[in-house]
Amino acid sequence: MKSLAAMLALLIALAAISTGIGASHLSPAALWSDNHALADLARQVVVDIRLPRTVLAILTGASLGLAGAVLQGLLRNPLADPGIMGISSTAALGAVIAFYFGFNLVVAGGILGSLAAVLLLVGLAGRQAGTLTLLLAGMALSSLAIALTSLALNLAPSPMATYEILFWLLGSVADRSWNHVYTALPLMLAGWAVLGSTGKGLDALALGEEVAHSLGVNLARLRWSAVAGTALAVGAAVSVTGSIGFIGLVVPHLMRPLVGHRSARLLPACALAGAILLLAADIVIRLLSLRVELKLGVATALLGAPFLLMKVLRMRERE
Amino acid sequence: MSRLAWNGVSLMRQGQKVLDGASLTVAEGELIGLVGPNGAGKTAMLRLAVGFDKPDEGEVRLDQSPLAALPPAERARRLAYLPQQPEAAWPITVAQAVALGRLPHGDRNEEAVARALDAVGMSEFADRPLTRLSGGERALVLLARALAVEAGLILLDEPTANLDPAHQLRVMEVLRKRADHGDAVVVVMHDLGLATRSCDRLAVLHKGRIAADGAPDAILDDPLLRKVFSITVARGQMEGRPFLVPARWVA
Repeated sequence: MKSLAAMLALLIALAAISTGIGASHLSPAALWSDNHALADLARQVVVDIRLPRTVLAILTGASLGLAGAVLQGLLRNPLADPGIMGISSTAALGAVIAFYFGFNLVVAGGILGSLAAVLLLVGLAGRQAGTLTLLLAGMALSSLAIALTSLALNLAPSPMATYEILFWLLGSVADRSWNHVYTALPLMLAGWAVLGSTGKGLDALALGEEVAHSLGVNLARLRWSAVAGTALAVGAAVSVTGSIGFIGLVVPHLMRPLVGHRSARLLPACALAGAILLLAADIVIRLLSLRVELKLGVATALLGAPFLLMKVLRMRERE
Repeated sequence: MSRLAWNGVSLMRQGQKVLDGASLTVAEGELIGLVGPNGAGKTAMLRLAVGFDKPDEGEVRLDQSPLAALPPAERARRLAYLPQQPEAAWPITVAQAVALGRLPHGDRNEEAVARALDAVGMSEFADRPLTRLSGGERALVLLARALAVEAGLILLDEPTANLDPAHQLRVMEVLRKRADHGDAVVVVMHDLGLATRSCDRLAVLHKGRIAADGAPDAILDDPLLRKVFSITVARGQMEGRPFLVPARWVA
């Protein structure tokens, strides 16, 4: 419990920092200023601009971390992440298609995309799908969604549209409003609840599917809970932020040695760590004074890829 | 009292009959060896009893009621299963692995975990990661995981495969003790010598059917061994029990 409490404290501290920094050099203390004009401005900047960004970073990071931990537990494979089931890319495809019909529909497009992904997975792999079949179906779906996204870019009506879609795909929580939060939050919470229900089954899966089954775990339900929970939580996240990778992959690797392998501790730890990591990354890109602000999705990829490389080198040493 | 019964079960897999009307009954306090050549259907029998597969014909009964009608959690409390060589996906500790046996009960009964570890003589290893044990030690821990269910009925798929002689004997000794305490134990094995020495009863599976069922020295005669296993054997007596050693394979 100590590590969870420490992580929660760190997250709160990061949230305070995140609401204190931004394009305008305005401190949240100005909210309580006697100068009404300044207090009004501060409310706009802090409450309407910085806070939704902070909240979205936390919600998205938690969704990605949690879904990553559940999928790695389900597939008994430390290389799984929410991208592997094709859900992120299908959600992105849905959002990209929605772009053609106006920005307001992007979120709906992303969510529809991720739900379509679940239906397609059920159709492709079957209700009683084995883990390997499900994984293959996910990879096939992912390739298809990526191909169709490229096609959409290729056929985009104007270079501006291509540019806008590409930029959106890079992934970011900047310039998001409370509307984005309100749209994504209910779906994310539903997804978290479904993902959280997989804990005991995932514990039993540590010793393989046959042992888990013999212990009374319903494997088919467990698989679909993991997929549907990921679709809800990550689909909603991708719909408002674009694609943000590596959090779901990296976070469980960091948490397993720290909090152990029992889901009751691992899943909340991964949600917290995902939120911390994404929020920290979003703070860092705001503090870096580059000519153009780095996209969050680019930053997580730049951090995540070397982490994977390190894993490979360490694994090679062991062999 | 009969704990488990396969009543004329048949199972088709990819157009082939894996089981063909096999029947077998297991009672309390019995240690039964399920033997037979590769592909005879031994693992298929166990998987039917755990409900992992459903029979195309016949039925499995657990405590006299149809297995298919039992809720999975109820079945899991009454029947423990140790599949062939389960691999650990993560370096969980020995105690955590054994505690998984309590999952069907929804408790973390530390005493049951301790009893199970004690029964296999692995109490000192409780805090070690499962992945850092030798093959023999790991087999004992996984056996303890099945014991921790305290189901009174244990099915084991080749628990002695790939183990050195000392660990093979340790595993069989643990199973003997469970049977003496009133548990029903079904163990799939290939080592006919070990099976003859350790089991009260042997059931011989041949081409998906029970070819013989009874006391080891009564059923493992030369014609059966030749017909089912394609071997001849050398026989002897040890500690008042018969044993046999495969001598030659015959065409």
